Formats: sequence, structure tokens, C-alpha cells
Amino acid sequence: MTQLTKSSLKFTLISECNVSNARTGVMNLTHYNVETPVFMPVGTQGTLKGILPDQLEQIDCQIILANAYHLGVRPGPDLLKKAGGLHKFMNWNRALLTDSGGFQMVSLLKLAKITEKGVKFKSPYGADDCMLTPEESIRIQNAIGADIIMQLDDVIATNITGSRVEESTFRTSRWLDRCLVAHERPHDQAIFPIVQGAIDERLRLISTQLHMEKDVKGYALGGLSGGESKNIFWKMVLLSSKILPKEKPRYVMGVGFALDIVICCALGIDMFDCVFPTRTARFGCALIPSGQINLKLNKYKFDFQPIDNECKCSTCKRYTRAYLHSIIPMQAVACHLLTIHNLYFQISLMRSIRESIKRNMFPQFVKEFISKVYSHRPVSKWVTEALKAVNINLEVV
Amino acid sequence: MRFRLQTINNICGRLGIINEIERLPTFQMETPNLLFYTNGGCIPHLTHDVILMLTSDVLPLQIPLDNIYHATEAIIKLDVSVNTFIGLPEYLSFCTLQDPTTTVKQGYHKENVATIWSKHGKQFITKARHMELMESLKPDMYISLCDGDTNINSSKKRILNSARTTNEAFRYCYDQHVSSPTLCKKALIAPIEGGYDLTTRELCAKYLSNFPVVGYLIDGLYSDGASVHKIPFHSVEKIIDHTLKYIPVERLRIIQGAWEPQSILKMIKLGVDLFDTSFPCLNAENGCALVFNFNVENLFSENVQLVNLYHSKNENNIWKKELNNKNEYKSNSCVSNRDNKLNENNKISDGVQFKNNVNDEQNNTSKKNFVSPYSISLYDTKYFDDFTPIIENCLCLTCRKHTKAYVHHLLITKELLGMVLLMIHNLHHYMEFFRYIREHLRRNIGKCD
Repeated sequence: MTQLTKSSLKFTLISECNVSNARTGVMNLTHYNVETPVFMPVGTQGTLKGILPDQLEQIDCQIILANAYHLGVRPGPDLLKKAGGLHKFMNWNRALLTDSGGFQMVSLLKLAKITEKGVKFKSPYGADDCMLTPEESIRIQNAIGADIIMQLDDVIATNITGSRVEESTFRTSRWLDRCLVAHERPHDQAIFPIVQGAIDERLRLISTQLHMEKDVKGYALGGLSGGESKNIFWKMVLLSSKILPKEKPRYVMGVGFALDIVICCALGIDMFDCVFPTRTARFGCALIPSGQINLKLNKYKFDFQPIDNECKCSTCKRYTRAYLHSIIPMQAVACHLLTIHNLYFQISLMRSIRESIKRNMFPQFVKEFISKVYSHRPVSKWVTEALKAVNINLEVV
Repeated sequence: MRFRLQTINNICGRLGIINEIERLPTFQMETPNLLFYTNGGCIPHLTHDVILMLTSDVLPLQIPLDNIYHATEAIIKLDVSVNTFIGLPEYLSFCTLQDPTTTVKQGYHKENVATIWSKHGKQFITKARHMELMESLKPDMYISLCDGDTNINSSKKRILNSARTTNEAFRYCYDQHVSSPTLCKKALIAPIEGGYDLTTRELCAKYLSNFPVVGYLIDGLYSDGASVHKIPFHSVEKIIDHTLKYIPVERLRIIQGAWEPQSILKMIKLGVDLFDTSFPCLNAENGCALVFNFNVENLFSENVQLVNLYHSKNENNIWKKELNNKNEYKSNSCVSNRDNKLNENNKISDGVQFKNNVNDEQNNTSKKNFVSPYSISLYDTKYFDDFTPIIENCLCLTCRKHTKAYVHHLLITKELLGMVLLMIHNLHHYMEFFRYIREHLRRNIGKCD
């Protein structure tokens, strides 16, 4: 039977929330079966900020993200090919996703010039001008060999309006076609298109529809974590997720705050990534159910409790706030301990979401979660509205 | 704590056992062995879950007071031991005074106090303050207050002052130690000063040998922790040998610092029991992986060479000659990051200008230059596409699971995991080196006696 031939991505829905759009499933990828909804920690340069692959497995991390732009510069696609791909190079045996590099072009390189051909930029490591085309991005991502790869998209800043938005939306679709043609490993690497259209409902809709015509295994929503109003953010997410096919995974790029993740899950999103949990760890901050605490503050100097009494991570089992306070920022160990805790926090959150959907308790989970986050202040309007749009009514007890 | 000598072997060195720690009744450690260097209470770069991937042994930690001093306020207020505070209660703790890997600033002396440099700058520790701190930290072993600010260039006057301050402080600390219900169950280690002056060493050793302490620390041999491996053994040989003559043979002897492995072997032969992990840590800090071969017959013979596995024998000798000839090597010494930060602090607080620059670029260059005959620098671009482990057949996690190309990539991209992998390998290699030393001693007991 032809269905038995190995596919780069097979998505199976296990359970759907009977109130909201939330769902839980399994993505069978080339290297690992990933449970969704899933948070993907960011390991930009082929390493997750001081954490060993063994430690990531210990905290049940199933998929991590790497960056084609950074890896394309160092160590470069040729070396990664020689190493047998990034999995072997960094010795990570579970799933990997690579970002195409479009976002980095815009966020890191102010001098990037975008033309129909691709993104022209000055290399930060040399004087030469470089050109990242859709074809080159896919060539690099084929060399890296991640389970899921992303198309190169024409990323624009969220505050841009007018014809540039339209151009970026349609160019992204044209680049998608070029990426699909250039993709040499469709049998073991699933490519995701990226929906663009800034905060223009009409363009978002067109972009989503254009991408739905393509033969792809899943979809990403891009350009949505750049500081736009939350009131608009959730509407843009729902607009796409409502019409995207149920049987394929949906990924909102750059979303990582616990609250945003829970809302997006309710809106029907399956995958998330963000540097936030690992970056905030490097700044001495630890995630807790009600938000985060900054352990650099003097009030933790004599606080001899773990970061979170309920947390079962290796950091909380052994180390106290007072000790962490004493070694931040002098010791790299402080950063490792907070990174482990924060990743454990995100991964546990995702597990709770999946469990609650399976047990048909997702709306209750959301209400409890919201009451913890907003224990000392009224619930934000956008949260109430977004949840209401998917039939979770916070006002009804 | 109890130290028991198992053999005295005049040709090879001695085997001993440390046990009966009041707090850790099941702890047992054979000597010669290592204390694990800590900074701020942690083994640099290694969280406890990663230490477990390195070894399941109960590790003896070396906790220098200067780099944990900033936390003493919290330790006192919370009324917990240093082990509890740092989250490693099952490990043994040995509280020392100065971080063995950094540079002791010279010339800061005051009558009857020791000067240490903490995260918050210069601190004067009186003997009474020292004992108050030990009473609070409750380490399993600790040294009495000492002034170890001597090196090969120290004047006779400086040496005598250091010896007098240290011996007087010891007398005070000893009295406090025996009368304190907490501390009398801990192990007091007596520091022996005297710089490079045989007479003063003899006087100090003789004086301290009158007190029933568990062991001795031979202190005051160097000022710059980052370049200890360049001190030729012959310049300290007589000092150590002479000092050891005057202390009871059955007691523990400790030397700190990043001495080169060849010197370590010779110190073991002279009868030193405990060392520390400064050498593997400093190598890792500079992007270097230990690759010396210790698996040799006649480990303690006069002309034994610990060959770098990456060099042929000839290259190794040529390299050594070059090392001895290069004077600039000394001035180009590497300073750990912590040191740089300290210097930066000093500049602000005291207006004193130190030689070492905080300049990142310079720091990087010096890292690339830190190559010893015992290691390879993984900053070296020749490892860019080398998909083999640091040492073939090495059983450490780094060598079992990762390649030189990967570690090189991590160093070049300044990723934190590079240091983690190098620390795992270097500590593993160094622990294996000591395991081999003990086995070798055991095998050769009969032969040498």
C-alpha cells in the first residue's frame, strides 16, 4: 500500500476539546514522534544555551529549533553535510526544526535589502555582501537536515503599513513556490509555508488561502510576535486557524509567554517557539505560574526556598533562590540552572495542556490558569475576548 | 575526620585513606587524590545533574573563602552550613582562603589580618573573624587564617612576616578550634608558610608539628594562579622536601594550584597526598582539552615523560624547549574571567591600575595562546572538520558523544556548552590520571619496599 511509504510528517489528532478549538495530537517526524501542542526551545547555533542533549531528554524535550541563518554562517552547510547533518553534529537524536533565516535578516541586520531575488545583506563576519535567496535557504536547510524546515519569507516589521505589506504577502507566496522547487529532501524533511500579511485581515486571509493550495504537511503563522497589539494578535491567529485544514499541524512563530501559548492552544494552534524562556534565564529570571521572578533582586538574598515549591525540576529539587542569587551573574552554572528550570516549566505547561484536552478538561484548565496569572488584577480584555471567540467564557463560574 | 597512612613508600610515594567524617559517616577517599575546585560554591560550568554524568563519587570540594565570601552574609543569617547553602550537602567541603587559580594581589598587608579579594572588593579578615566565619560555614575541613603572599621573588622580610602572621593566627585558631563544640569535630588543617626560604619553612613546620592537627597545607609557593604550571619543579622541590621532613609522617599533606602533571607526580613521590583540580579547570577555561598519556610503566621513574597524545615524542621535546626559551610566554599569562572582573572592580574601588586588560580581544588571543604540552586548544581551526573525539576510547561523556569539530564550533560561537564539555573531559581525564597513580602505587608497593 502506498500509504505505508515513509512520510516526512504524519500528524494524528488524538483528542479535540469539545468547547474550544484546542486539540492534541502526535506528529510522526523522521527522528521523533512529537506530542502536540508543543513548545520548541530555541537552540540557535546548534546548541541549547549550555544544556547537554542528555539533559534535554531528561526533561522530556521532544523537538528543538535551530537557525539556518546562523548555522549557514558558522559552521556552514558544507561542514554540516560532511558531519551527516545537524542531528549528528550536535548529537541530538530527537526532532529538529530550522527557521529559514528570513526573520534574522530583518531583526539582526539593519542593512538588509530585500529584492525579488532574495535578501541581500552584509555578513557580520566579513566585508562581503551576501545574498540569501529562497533556493539558498533551502540548500542550507537541506544540509542541516532538520525534520521540519521553513520557507524563506519576506518578513517586515509589524508597524509597516501600505503597499509594502501587500508586496511582502505575495512575495512570500512566490518564494514559497521557489522553495518547494528547490527542496531536495521532501521524503524526510517536511517544509512549512509561512502565512504573512501583517495585521491586514484581507491579506492574511489571501496568504492563508494561497498556501493551502500547496502540497505541504503543515503551516506556520509568521509576523505575529513583533509587538503588535494583543487585541489584533489573537484575531489574526484565529483567522488562519479557522480555515486551515484540521489534519495538519499549525505553528505560530515566536510565541512563548505562557499566557499567549494557552490562548493560542484554545484558538487551535499546535506548535510554538520562542527565545524567551532561555533568554530570560540568562538575565537571572525564573518562570513561575504567576509570571516570573528576577533572582538578581536583593529580596532573594535570604530566601531559602526553591524557585517554585511545586516544581519537580532538578534545579528546584536542590538549589535555593538565595544560592542562585549569590552566583548570578558570575557563574555560568546559574544560567544553566535557570535555563533547565524555565524549560521544564514550559514543557510541563504543554504537558498539562495536552492532558487536559485528553481528559476533556481544557476549559477548566484555562480558567484555573487564568485565575493564577490574574490573581491580583483584572483579566485583560483581549484574553476574555479571545477565549469567548472559542466558547470559553471566563465570566461564567 | 581521620587520615590513615597505608604505606610509606620512599621510592614512589604513599597511599592513604581519608574517612570518619563526622557529617558523612560513609565517605571514604583514597589518597593521592583531588579536591574539586569551586567558585562561588559550584564546580565551574557544572550543575549537579551534569556532575552526576561525570561521576557518582561523593566529591571533596575545595571552597576558597575569597570566592564564596559574598555569600557568607546569607549563610550566617540563614544559619545553614556552606554545604547546605550551595546545594551540595552530600559532598565533603574543605574551606581554604585564596582561590588557587587567580592572582593574589601582592603588597596588601596589615598587621595580623589576611587580605582577600571578594566579589565586592578587598576584605580584611582578622583571625577572630575567620573563626566566626568557619563556625558559621561549618566546613568538614578548613585551614586556619594564613598570609600566603609569598613567591620565589619574595624578600626575606616578607617571608618572615608571612610566617609570623600565619603561625600566630594558627595558635589563636587552634585554641578556638578545640574549644568550639562545632569546630572541634571538624578537621583543622595547618598552613605552612616560609616562601622559598628553607630556614623559615623548617621553623614553621617544626612549630606546627607540635599541634595534633589532621594535616598540613604547604602554602605560599606562588602568587599567579594562572601560571603555576610554568613553575619548574626543581625550583620548589627542595622547599617541599625540606618542609615535609619536619612534620609527622602520618599526617595529611596538601598542595594547591595548577601544577603541571609532571610536577604532581614528583610531589606525590615526595609524599604529598592531596591536590586540586585547578589545572583541568584552567585548561578548560582557556579552551584546552587535556590529552596527555599517563598510562605508562614506571610512572615515578626519574625520566618519565607524560607524552601529549597529539604530538610525536620528538615534537614533544622540541615543544618543551621552546616553552623554556620563550620569555614572553610568562608575561602573556592567561587570567580567568573572574580575575578580570576582580581587576575591574579594583580599578573602580581603589583607583589602582592593574596590568591585565579586560579587553575581550586580548583575552581571546591569550586563550588561543594557552597551550601546554598536556593539552590541545580546541580554538585551533584545524579541528573545524575533525569528527573524532578528543581522545579515542576515552569514556567521558564528551568523548563518547561529541566530536572536536562540535566543541570547536561551540568555542568559536562563544556558546556556553563548549566549557561544559571541556570541563567534563578535563575533570574525567584528571580523575583517571589520579586513579592510575593510586593503582600504580598499589601495584608497586612490594617492589619498592
